[in-house]
Amino acid sequence: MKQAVWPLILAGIVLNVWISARVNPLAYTGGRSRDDADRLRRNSSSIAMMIGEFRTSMSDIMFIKTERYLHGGIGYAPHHSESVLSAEDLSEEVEEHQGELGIPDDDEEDDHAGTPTLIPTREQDFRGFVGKLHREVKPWRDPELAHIHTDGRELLPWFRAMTLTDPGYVRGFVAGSFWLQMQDPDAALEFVEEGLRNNPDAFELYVSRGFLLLRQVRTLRGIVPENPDDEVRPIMEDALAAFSRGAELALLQRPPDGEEGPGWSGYQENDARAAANMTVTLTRMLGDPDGAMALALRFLETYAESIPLQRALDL
Amino acid sequence: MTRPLSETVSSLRVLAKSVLIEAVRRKEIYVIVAVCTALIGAAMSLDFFGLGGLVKFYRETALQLMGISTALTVIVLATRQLPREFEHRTIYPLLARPVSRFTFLMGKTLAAWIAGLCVYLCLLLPVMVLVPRLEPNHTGTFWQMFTLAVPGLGLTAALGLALSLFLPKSLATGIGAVLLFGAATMANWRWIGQILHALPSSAKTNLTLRYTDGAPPMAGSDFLLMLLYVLLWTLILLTVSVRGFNRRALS
Repeated sequence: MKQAVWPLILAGIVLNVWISARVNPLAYTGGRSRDDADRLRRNSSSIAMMIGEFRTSMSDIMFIKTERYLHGGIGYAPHHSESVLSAEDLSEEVEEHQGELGIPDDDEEDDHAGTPTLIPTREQDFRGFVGKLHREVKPWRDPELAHIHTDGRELLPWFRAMTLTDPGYVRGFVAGSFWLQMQDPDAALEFVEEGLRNNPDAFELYVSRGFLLLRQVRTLRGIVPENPDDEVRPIMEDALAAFSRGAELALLQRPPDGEEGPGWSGYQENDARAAANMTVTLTRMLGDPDGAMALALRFLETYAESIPLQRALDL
Repeated sequence: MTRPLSETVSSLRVLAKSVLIEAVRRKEIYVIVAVCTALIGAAMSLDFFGLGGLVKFYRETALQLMGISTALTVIVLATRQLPREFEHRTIYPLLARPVSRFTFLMGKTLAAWIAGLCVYLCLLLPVMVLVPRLEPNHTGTFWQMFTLAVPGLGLTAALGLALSLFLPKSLATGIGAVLLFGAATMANWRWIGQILHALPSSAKTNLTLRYTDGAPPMAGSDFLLMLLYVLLWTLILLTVSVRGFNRRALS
């Protein structure tokens, strides 16, 4: 009898390890803190942001912190528009933005120049020498000058921390994987996959995954080729699978009015459309023009005014 | 020789009562409840520049403070029972009576669990009545939170007792606190998270965030698995404690 206890204890522990790995009460979809409209509303007020909700506000605060790091410690008024939070815009607009590393030259005079700094300029600062001291001691730059951007490496610990704090923070995974791919593309893919494990229904992460895979193709071939060879074809097929899954999930989640509907933000709409466009484009590039046409017609029922989808019908 | 059940129950009651009387006499529970109530009261009295819609902050702060206070009560109470009995040598006259070691341990665990339950209920009632309500409010999630919290306190008590049998008092309290309060955060850390799956932690059963976030209840099967998880760990820890205590020399 006494000897039988230890195997039972061991069996109990094994069963509990299985339960613990299988069930996570905090892995849920929905909830106020994960509602994007709610987040945006909360983040429009600094007070609400600080005290709105411990865990998710912490991840929001960390997200804002990354912007400070991006600007070499200079505190600007938040100016990254909602659209650049989408996986598609990150891979296009911000990547272009990143061309302006280091001291900006003449071509970059207009780069966000004019965005107010958190520490005011001499003309706007009533504090006199205290304000001057503040500008000397803290990282500060004349807001009329173009921004200096770091390469994003220092941002990475914050993305790691914010997604550890809140594994349901999809935006952190999307933006983090974008910055991470500049340093280590494989780690970026792993990061997105971790995001997908925690948020299996987050279509934005499938879009991110698709773009990361296409970047691998561009690294190998310089472009995403129309007639892929055997080396890049599996990667493009993998990307197509990711975009396709993302597009299907987006169709299920999108309210009928799109951006005007409840709980659907501008960057979600951007990513939903990107998923649809890329699904059509890759289907065609991988040798199935009829399939691409059928998909374009199907997606146009939802995204009627999408120019890339309309163009796909002409190809 | 098997003792009648009524005698065992009576012994359990006496043992648990003595621990509870001692806890009340030492005013620890009062202090914890008073400090927690004061903190909740302070949070409730804050006016954030007239900003509305912060119900969630109030309720989450209150419920989290309540959970921390309760878990702290149980772990402190459970980890100090055996070391104190040995230090003060009060265990010898106790075990000289017709009280088995098993009954002795169960009595101690029961007392820590009851103390935690008292603190939990003492704090939960005013929190639910006084703190503004959340809208939309998932009653099902609330009941799941409550139903898991009750056996979760039993697991905390069993964990504290087991740790105190094999570790020095302060280390047992420290490790118990880490498993209670750190486990939820560390669960997302890559390899530590994997190790934590094999360690008992009632933090996994804390549904406060799920409730305050307005999330729907867990699936019935997942909820039952979590209940099984808590009960299994409690049983395992008590079994290990009883066997460890039975082998322990009292000289």
